[in-house]
Amino acid sequence: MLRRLSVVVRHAVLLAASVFFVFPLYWMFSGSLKRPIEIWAYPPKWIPSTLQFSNYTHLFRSKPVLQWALNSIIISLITVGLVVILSAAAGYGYAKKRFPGSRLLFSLIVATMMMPTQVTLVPLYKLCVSLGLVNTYAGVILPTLAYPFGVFIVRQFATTIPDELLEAAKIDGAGELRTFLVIVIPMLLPALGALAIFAFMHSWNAYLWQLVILQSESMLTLPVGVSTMIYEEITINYGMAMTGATIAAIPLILFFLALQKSFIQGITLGSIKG
Amino acid sequence: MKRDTLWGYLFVVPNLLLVLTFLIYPLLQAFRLSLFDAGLYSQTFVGLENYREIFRDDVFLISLKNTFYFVILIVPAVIVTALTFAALMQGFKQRTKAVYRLIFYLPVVMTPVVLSMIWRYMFNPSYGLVTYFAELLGFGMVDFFSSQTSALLALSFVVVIWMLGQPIILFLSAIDGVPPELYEAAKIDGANSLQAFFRITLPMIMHATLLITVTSTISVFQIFVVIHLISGGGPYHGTESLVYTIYNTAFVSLEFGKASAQSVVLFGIVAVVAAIQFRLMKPSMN
Repeated sequence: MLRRLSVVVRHAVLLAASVFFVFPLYWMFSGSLKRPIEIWAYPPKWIPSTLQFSNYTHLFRSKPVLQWALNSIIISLITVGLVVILSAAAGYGYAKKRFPGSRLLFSLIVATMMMPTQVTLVPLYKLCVSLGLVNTYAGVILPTLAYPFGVFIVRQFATTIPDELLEAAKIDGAGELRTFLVIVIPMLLPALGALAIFAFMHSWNAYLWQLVILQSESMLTLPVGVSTMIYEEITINYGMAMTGATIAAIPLILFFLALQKSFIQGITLGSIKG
Repeated sequence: MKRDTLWGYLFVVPNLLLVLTFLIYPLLQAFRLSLFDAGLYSQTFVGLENYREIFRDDVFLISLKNTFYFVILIVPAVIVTALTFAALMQGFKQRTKAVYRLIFYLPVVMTPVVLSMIWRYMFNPSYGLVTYFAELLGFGMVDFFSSQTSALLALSFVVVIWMLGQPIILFLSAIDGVPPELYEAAKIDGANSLQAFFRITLPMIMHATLLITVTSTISVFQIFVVIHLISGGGPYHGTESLVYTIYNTAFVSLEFGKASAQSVVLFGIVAVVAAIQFRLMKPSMN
């Protein structure tokens, strides 16, 4: 009986806390359906009185939302693809190849992993100005390709590949590249999947750098574009802002729901088991 | 042997070049630029003048202080809450745990930008939902962002909500890793569940706790979006964080030298924290 009760209490506490995590999502979506008069209502209106999407049509007409979404998709897909390939190669190299300086270089990578990237904001901007990368996709993508965490996670995983397997491939006459593509890559897939998810989140969410490097409205990514409705306006139209927020939130929420399991695995894999 | 060396370099070099160009080189440049009075195209050497200036600059000192406040408010709240939630879930079915995990991870997935926008709307002083509840509870119609203290607390609250997802998942898996025999033994010895938590669970997940503490500390030092979108650094620079001030100094005031000096200070602080993390990770690297 007492045990039962304690289970009920535990659920009650967790569910009460859940309100803070779930309700904002509802408030965002319901806000996107509210006309200004309902937004300004006090006490707040819990449910919009009519189901109408005028904020959506208005937003699509006044801001290049589709272009922003397209920019975000292009930028994150290219970033994820390249990060995965580059990290797979480097992680495998550090794990399985013996070459002078390998330990030192890998330590360097691990050290940079903890460096807050904001430290390099100003010099990186100057570098991109001199390379002519301001307001380009390349300007957004290139600096994020140096993703030390990716190398780290692959390297940790690659050390578990048995050497005999690689030796056997060599004896069978497979070249280095062939061994990498046909034997190593398939064995790294779980790590690469987790890495792809992280790299995607990282690139989709990268805000500060995009705010600095992207300058024309049509080049902005979805999060940056949508956020201009908050910080560039003197009086914020929250109905419109919540509409933008909904559009920006949906892709990632769907992505998460679809790949939930890998997310969780990735998070536990990424942290270092103690 | 030689072939292995060559291929080793071939595998790591593409990534290494990117790291050198876009991480190491700009880092070194930050140190160099901090010694110059620099704009976008011109620069004159001024020695340590920028450092002297920033440590006399009230806005920078406030933002330095705020950043420490954020760490002190947010990190313990995150650790205690995440640990409590994970402990409350102990013994639940995996499926039930998965549902809660999903709920608490939702804000992470919603991205900081979206979350900040929603909370700004909810904190609105004349029609926001939080304002409404504050009035219901008898506080009157409070504008959380009219005073520095309440603004810092409100921002910290949002950040805690946003940060909890990952620590909860990590604590859950750490607690799952504790051998069940230990609990059985404790039960036989007559320990209640609270005693079991403090005597068994907590010591067994010490390493995970330390690691989560360090990683959350580092991410709190990097707070930007929440401030940029909810408080705009106000009232009167009262909620600026280090990164927010760096951004403003560089891209609003266009004082690149000063911003670099501020960045070097940020680097110094995080380096100390990171050194601790590196220590903790060392055993699992080999």
